Amino acid sequence: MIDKYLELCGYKPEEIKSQLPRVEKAFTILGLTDFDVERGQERISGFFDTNLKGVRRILGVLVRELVDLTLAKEEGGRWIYSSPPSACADILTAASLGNKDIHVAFPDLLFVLTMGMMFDKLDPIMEAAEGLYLEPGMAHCSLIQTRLGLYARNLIPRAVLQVSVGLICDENPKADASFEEFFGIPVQYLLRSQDKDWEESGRIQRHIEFLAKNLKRMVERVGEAAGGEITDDMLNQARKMARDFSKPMRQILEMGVNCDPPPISSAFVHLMRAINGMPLNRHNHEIAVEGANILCQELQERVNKGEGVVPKGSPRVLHGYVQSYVDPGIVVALEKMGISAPIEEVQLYEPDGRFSPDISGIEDPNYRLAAVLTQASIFNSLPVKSRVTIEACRRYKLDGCLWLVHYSCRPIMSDSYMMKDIVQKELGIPFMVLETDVYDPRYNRNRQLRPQLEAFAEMVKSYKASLR
Amino acid sequence: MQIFEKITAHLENRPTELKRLKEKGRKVIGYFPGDYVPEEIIYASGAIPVCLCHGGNPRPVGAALSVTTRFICPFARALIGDRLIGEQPFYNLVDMLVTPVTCQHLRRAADIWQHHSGLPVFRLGVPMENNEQGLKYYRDRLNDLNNKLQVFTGQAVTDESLWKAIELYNTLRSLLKRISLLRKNSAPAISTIDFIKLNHASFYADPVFMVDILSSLIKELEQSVNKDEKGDNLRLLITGPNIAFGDYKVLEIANELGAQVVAEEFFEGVRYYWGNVEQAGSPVEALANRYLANKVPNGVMPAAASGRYDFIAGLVKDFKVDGIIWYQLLFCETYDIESYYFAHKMKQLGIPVLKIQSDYDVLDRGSIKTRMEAFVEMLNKERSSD
Repeated sequence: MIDKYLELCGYKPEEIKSQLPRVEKAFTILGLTDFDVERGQERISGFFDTNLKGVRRILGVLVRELVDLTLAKEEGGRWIYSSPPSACADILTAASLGNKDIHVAFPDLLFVLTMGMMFDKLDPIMEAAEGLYLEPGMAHCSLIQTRLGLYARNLIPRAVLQVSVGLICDENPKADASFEEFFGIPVQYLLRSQDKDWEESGRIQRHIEFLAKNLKRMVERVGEAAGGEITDDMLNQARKMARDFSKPMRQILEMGVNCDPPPISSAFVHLMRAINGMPLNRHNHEIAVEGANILCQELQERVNKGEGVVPKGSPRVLHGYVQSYVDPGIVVALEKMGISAPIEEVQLYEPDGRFSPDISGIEDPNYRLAAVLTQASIFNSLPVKSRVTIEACRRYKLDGCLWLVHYSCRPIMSDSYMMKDIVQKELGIPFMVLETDVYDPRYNRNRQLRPQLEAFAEMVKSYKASLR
Repeated sequence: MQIFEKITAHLENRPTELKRLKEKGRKVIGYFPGDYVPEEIIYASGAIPVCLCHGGNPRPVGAALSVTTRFICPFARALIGDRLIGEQPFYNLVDMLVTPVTCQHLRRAADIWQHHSGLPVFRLGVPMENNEQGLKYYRDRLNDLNNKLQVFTGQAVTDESLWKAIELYNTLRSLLKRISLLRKNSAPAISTIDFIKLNHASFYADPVFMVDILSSLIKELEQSVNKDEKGDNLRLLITGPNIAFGDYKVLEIANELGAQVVAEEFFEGVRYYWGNVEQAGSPVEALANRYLANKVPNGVMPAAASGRYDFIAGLVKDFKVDGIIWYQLLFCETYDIESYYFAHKMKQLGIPVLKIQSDYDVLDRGSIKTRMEAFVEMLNKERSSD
C-alpha cells in the first residue's frame, strides 16, 4: 500500500526500494495505517492533478520532509524551527548549508500539509495541544496548536532554536515564549510594529529600519545556534536555492493568471507557494526544483493546447486572504462550479496589487527583505489592504472576491467585513466572507461550505453576465 | 464618604464641561488603555486626554458584531460598540484617537473607529521587546505624536509644558500609589473596588481636580487606618489584561463571599500608578523610559512573563495575599497562553490561582460566583489547617 502511495507521490522505483523502510517506520510512528494511506491516495488524487508528473514529484517532497522530521529523533542532528510567515526561511536554509548536523523545518506547516491535508489525521495532534493548554473555545490559532501538539506527543525533536516570527500576529511569539518556558526551547523573535497610519503607504523607513536590524540580529542568533557564523555567501546561496524553485513556480503562477483557461488548479499553485516558503532539506529541495521545472513544461503544453481547469471565458475571483492549507477541496469545488481563483491576497503588494514590491535602490539584503515584508498587503492597515485589493481586481480583471478567513487569526478576520464594505462600495463586485479554519481539518470540510460556495458562484456568474 | 460623591458629580458633569471647552477651541483626545500612551504629551499640547476604558456592558459588545467577528475580545468590542451606538458621552466627544498598537484587538478597534467615523487616528507603535532598539523606536513615535498633536491643536509643546504635565501626572500617580499601599494593612482603609473606581475616574476627570480630591481623600484614609485592627478576611490579588470602567462583577462577587481583593495588577491599577516619570534629561526620553522600559511589561509581549511573575510575587508578599484570581476576557489569546504558565509558576511558590473568563455576559455571573465560592472555601480550609 505504501509503495503505491509513494508512486503516486512521484517516487522513482529505485527511490521506493531504498526509502520504503524509512517511510514505513515513520508512518508507524505517526500512526498511519493502511486505511489512512489508502484514504490519503484518494484525497490527493481528488485535490490535485496527479496525472502531471511535476505535481507528483512535488507532492513527494512533502512526504520526504515528513519522514525526515519524524525519524529525526532516531537519526540525530540538531534542528532549528520556524513557522509562517516565512520571513526567515533563507536564514534557516543558510544555517543548514554551513553545518551538516543542522536541519531546519517549519514543523507545524509541514504536519498540516501532510498529516492534515494529505491524510486527514491531524486530530490527535490538535487534541494533544488542547489537552495541554491551548484549550478549545478560546479561538487559538490551529497552526500554533499543531506546534504544541507535536511537542506534547513527542513526535519531533526539541529545537536548538525556535525562530519566532511576529510580523502579523501576537499569538505566534507568545506561544513560542510559552514553549521556552515549558520545554526549554530557546527563542529568537522577529517582531515589528504595526503602526502604519492610514495616510501612510509604500516604503516606510521606520518600519524597514526596525525590521532590518531585527533580521540582522536573527542571522547572528541563528548562526550561534547552528554553531558557526552565517556568512553573506551562505545567505546568497540559500537565496539562490529559493530562486531555483520560485522561478518556475512564478511562471506557473503567471500562467494561471494570464492564460484563459488557467492550465492548473490554483489549489496546487497555493501548495507550491507553501513549499516555497518553507526551508527544505537540500536533497528534497533539489527534487522540488526538478518537479517545478517538469510541471512548468507540462503546463506550457496544456496552454498551447488551450486546456484548463475551467471552461474558457469563465469568471475569475480573488481569493483572500489565503487558501485553506488543509482542504484544497474548497478551491477545487469552486473550479468545478466554473470559477477560477488564480490569485491570493497574500501574493499582493502595495500600492496596486502587483506581485513584486518596490525594492529598487536597496542594496543591503536585510533592508531588501524588510522592504518586501513591509509592503506585503496582508501586513498592512485596512486602507492599504483594501486599495491593493481594489487595484488587483481592476488590474487582473477579476469578477469577485472570496474571502476565506482563518477565524482564529485576529489580524485577518477582524477586518474582513470592513474589506467587504469598502471593496463592494468601490467596485460593486460580489464579495463573500467565509469563516473557517485554514489549518484544522476538524473545522474545515469543503462540503460544509458548499452551499455558500454555490451561492457565491451564482452571484459571480450573474455579475459577469451582467457586464456583457 | 463625601469625596466619592464629589467624584461622581464631577464625572456626571464632565461631558458638559468638555463640550464647553471644545466650543472654546480645546480638543479632546481619546486614547485606548494599556499604559503606553503618555497623557502628559496630550495635556502639554493643550488638549484634554480621555482614556476610553468603559466595559462590562454586553449591549455594545453585541452591537460590535455588526462590523466585526466575535473573536475580538469583549473589551475591544465594547470600544467599537460604544462608538457605534453613540450613547457613551465621552466617546462622542473625541476629536482624535490615539491607539497604542499593543494587541490586534485594540488595533482593529481603532481601524473600525476610523472607518466608521472618519476620526483621525494616531497609531502609536509599541515594540514588543524591551531593548535599546525598541526604546528608540518608541521614543521616535512619541516625538511623532508630539508633532501631530501640535499641528492638531495649534499649540506648541515646549519642554517646559511637558515637564509641567509630567509633574502633574506624577503627583496624581503618587497619590494613587499612596492610597493603594494603605491596603497592605490587615484591615484596609479602602476597598479595592472603590480604589479601582478612583483609578477609573482619574482617566476621565480633570487631573487637577483629581489631585485635589485624592489629596483630601488620603488625609481622611490615613487618619482612619487603625494599624492594630486585625482583619481576618481572605486576601486576594486580581490580575489579568484589564478591568474596565463598569466591569466590577468579579470584585463584587469577592465582596459578597467575604473575601477581600487587596491588590490589582492591571493596566487600570498597579501598572498605571506604580512608576513615575523621572524628571531628568529630555522630557520625551523620560516619558519613553517610564512608559516602555521601566515598568511591569504588558502580558501581550512575548518575553514578559518572568518580569511579571517576579513583580506579582512581590505584591503577593507585600500585600499578604492568600490567593490570586486571574481575570481575563474571552478570546484574549496572549493572556490565555500566559495564564497557564503563570498558574504553574505560582503553584511552585505555593500560591493558588483561580482563572476566570468573561465575555461581559450577564449570564456568566452565576458560574463565576460558583467557581469563586469553591476557591474561597478551599483557601479558607487551607488557612484553618495552617
